[in-house]
Amino acid sequence: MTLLFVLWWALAWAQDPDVVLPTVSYAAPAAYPDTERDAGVEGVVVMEVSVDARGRVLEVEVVEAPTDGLAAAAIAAVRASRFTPATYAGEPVGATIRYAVAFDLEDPPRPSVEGRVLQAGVRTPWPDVVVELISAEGATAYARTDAQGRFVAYDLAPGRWVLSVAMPGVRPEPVPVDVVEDSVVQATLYARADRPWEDDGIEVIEVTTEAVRAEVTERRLGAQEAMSLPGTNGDLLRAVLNFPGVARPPLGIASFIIRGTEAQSTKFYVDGVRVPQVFHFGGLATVLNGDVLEEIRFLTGNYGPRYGDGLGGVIDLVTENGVPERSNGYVSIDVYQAAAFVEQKIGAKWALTATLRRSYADAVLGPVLSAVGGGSNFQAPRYWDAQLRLVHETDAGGVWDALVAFSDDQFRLLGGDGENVQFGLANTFVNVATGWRAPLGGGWRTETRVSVGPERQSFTFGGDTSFEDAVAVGLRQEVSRPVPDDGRVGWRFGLDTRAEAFRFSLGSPRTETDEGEGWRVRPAVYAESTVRLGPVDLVPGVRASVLSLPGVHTSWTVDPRFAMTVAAGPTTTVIGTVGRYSEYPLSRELLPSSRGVPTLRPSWSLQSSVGVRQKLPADLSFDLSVFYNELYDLVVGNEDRFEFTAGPPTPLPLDDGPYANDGRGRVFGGEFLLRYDGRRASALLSATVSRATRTPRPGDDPRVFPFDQTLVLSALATYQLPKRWTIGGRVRAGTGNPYFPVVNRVFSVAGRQFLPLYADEASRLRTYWSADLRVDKTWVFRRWQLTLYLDVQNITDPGNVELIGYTYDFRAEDPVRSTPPLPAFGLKGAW
Amino acid sequence: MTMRLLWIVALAGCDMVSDETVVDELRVVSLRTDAAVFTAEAGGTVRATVHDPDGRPVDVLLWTCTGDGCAEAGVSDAPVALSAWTSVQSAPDAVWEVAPPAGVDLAASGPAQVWALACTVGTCPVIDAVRADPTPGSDAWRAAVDQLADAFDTVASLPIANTSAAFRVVPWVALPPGVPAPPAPSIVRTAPEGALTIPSGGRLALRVAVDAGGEAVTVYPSASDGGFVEAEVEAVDGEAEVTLVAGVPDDPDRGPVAPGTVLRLWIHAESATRGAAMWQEDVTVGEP
Repeated sequence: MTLLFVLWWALAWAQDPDVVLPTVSYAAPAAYPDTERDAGVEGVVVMEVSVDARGRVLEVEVVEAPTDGLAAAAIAAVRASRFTPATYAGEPVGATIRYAVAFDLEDPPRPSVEGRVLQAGVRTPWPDVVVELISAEGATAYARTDAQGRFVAYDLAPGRWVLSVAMPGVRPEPVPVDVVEDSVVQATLYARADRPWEDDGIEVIEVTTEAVRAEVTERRLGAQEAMSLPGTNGDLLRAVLNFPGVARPPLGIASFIIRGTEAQSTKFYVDGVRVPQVFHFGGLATVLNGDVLEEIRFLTGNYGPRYGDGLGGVIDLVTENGVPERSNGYVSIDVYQAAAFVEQKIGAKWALTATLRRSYADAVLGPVLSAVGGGSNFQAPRYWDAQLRLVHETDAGGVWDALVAFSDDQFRLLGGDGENVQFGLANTFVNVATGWRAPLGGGWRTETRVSVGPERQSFTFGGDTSFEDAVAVGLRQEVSRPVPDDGRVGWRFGLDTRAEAFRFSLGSPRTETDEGEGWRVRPAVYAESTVRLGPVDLVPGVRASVLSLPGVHTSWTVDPRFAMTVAAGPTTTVIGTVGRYSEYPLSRELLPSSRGVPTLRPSWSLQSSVGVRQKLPADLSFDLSVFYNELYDLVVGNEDRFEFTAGPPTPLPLDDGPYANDGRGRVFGGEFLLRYDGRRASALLSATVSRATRTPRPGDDPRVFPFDQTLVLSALATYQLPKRWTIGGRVRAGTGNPYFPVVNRVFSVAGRQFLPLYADEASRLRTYWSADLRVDKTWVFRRWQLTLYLDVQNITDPGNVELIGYTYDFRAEDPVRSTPPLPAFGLKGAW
Repeated sequence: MTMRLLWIVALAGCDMVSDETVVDELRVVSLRTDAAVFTAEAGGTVRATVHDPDGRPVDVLLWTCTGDGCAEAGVSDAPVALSAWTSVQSAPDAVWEVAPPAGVDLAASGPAQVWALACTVGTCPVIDAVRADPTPGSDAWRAAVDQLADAFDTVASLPIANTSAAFRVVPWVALPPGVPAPPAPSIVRTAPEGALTIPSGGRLALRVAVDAGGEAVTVYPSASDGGFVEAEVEAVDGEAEVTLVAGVPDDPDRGPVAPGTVLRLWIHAESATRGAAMWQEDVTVGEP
């Protein structure tokens, strides 16, 4: 007898006559570890094993073991063994027993079958599942997979054996093997779960708001989860629109109006380095493929000094930090675009990722629009983007990566001759970035990232082309050390610099052209400390920066910030923040050649918030905060300069005075987020109550911010059904945006245009509400899987008014309504 | 910029067909001066063309402001000159001889704003006030002038229905004795010859010649029904061709213009520095 299996005793009530202890129905042999075998170590490992009422091993605790190696081998053996559950008065119950495994060198076990269990479709290793082996004669044996999905079955009799995964809800997918004496048969099992939430731990919404961290106001959203939320059409950043603090943008465009600030005040980063463009056409789709990313970090305000030069929120897209477990890829098509993605491991430490995506609305819409366009030749919107990324993990725990990203958007309306551009948009950028993250020792980490690349945005109307060109260099260098387990103080120091050579020409047939070119350099340094005093974290920080347009303008800012978190209980955290935030004027606002004023100062705000985060039973948690922000020195004026390119029909009279730091603002409100993160279902309810006003010039009365929305509600949920169906829905409602109705108009005879005259008092669009639906079905094959989804936005189409437009003569309102329901089908084949 | 431009795309797609060449409400169709400038010595002549498709009696008020504009100017330091005129539909243009304002340094005051306000009778109290007591210097006159000095606010206070306001900017200049002000452009029809007719639902190409002293001119056609294919056409070598359509077949609300209808056509020509001209004529709609 090679191994000795001893069932000693059960605890507590073992002597009760109504109790029947668990019995071993199959005792899996233990593999002899090489180290112990070579060293001649023998002995017995004694364990306490908890067996539940279904006979499953729940916990194993080693009581006695000669070596750690033998202990690990014994644990693996007991977890592969099969038990008949204990009973009490005839009913199955859980019990803890003592179980011993003896290791005897004279007759070690002989492996007969080795293999792996992989999840079908995605081919990821499936740990901790039981493999059942049945011989032609009816004998049975069992093995359990380790963390890498590997298993070994020992001492099988020669002959035909059939292997399958023996777990509830998992298709067995039997694999026959022929066991031959003195040899080891290799086998791979592809298993699939019809009820994946029970076995493979799929999380649908993974939003973390860690209680105590340096960025106390940060919310994180996993990239994969974000793309599967209903109402997002599979787009990464649209998921962020569901969070509190974000106003609902009109027309379904992904515009981030956060805590009552202009969309341009929300800043976007990739791995901590500012990027000017993250959307195709300013809001249709994210330019980076979500599969290149690991998560989104979203900060509505009151963030630490790591971020700056913005009065609104921050969205930081974080690329995958390391080499993937396995090579993978996919090809997808939907009604808007097609995409391909490949992530290839190169050895254990390198990986290369390539992705390409192109929209093809132009192929369908172009001919259709041209046919009805009365002599015009439409080239409907199309975009494409590509990314190539190389990642390397070092032995020392560092990660290096290089990313090349390209994006190109085009929309053109040609004249009947098919050549002259009547109207056109074009955005293009190339960005090359490289980064390095590594531990430095002593708990310190370093993070370096550099990006460089040209970008161009252009707009053509009636033969005039406006454009903004830039070649930008971004650099972030940060060293940090979180508060050590045995310490009180954590640190973060960093350099955040952006420099660009720019050139622009902005005009339209109805305005004079503003032109400018030059250099814009904005270095910033920051420092932050975290002082831990028991349950209290004090987080003071400061950010200092300079803006220089050589020969034109120089200004600087120093922004102190402070946050405090109090762990008021094991599940409760209270957070308070206050800080100063600055945003520099745009280059065109500073250059005399574009009617700019070189003496403009940075706009700034004083932001404060108090909040509580609470984890609740039953996978629930909520996050409640109130905030109050005062805005100072806002740049106002010259709105008529960009009347033609300044957005929707002006909801209020234009300020055509010269640029000045005359604007003031006030924003206050509350944000609420309730989440349920179950294994099978997840749900999110967010609510924002806020009031945002602006005072354009001294002496003016405060007026509501153009996107002031008193109440914004968003509720979404997803639920996993059997057979890999997933259903999700989203409902949104909110106060309509304010606007100033046109009460009359005058006709400028020479300019041949009507000029609107606005009411003194603002009105509001009617309350908005909409419902979205998404259904996913996945078919799993051995080596790949196919997902079909249907995403229908605005399925009820209540006729929401998104904007108030007007007839050409402003005689009547011409409301712009929500797009009607458009079923968006998509297919994705992944391997 | 991209974000902002996207709005334009979205909105442009909502209203690709313009009907701005159809005068289907009370409108000041044209406001122009006989010369390109007002002279400090003799002033100038303002002409306004007004059309009401319903043929109702219409009041037209013309006035000018010096200085930076009516909106900011007070009565005392920036005189407002006004003239009341009452017309009915199809009446000749409103014509007003503008005299140089007394006591104003015109060279320093900047160009004048010339305003025309057309209202159906009884709609605009400010016109009623002027008509009741048009005596310059009277209390009613002064109250009206004070109100008209802030033209934008005055128009904003009026109902949008049954009112139409228009303005243009005309420089004040001091010319040497005997030197006339440069004339405004002129415009004549060159083709087709004879009385104009157009079949119901059909098209008619009109050619006009514009004399603007060699300066580039843009013509803006409009009609009392139907409409023109293009809302504006550049005059090349002093000539421009516009195409009238007696009906808009694609618009169910505006079918072909009925045979027998007499359409009023206007072609307003605008130059950058020479001012404006207007041609107007009727065209009879025949059988399809």
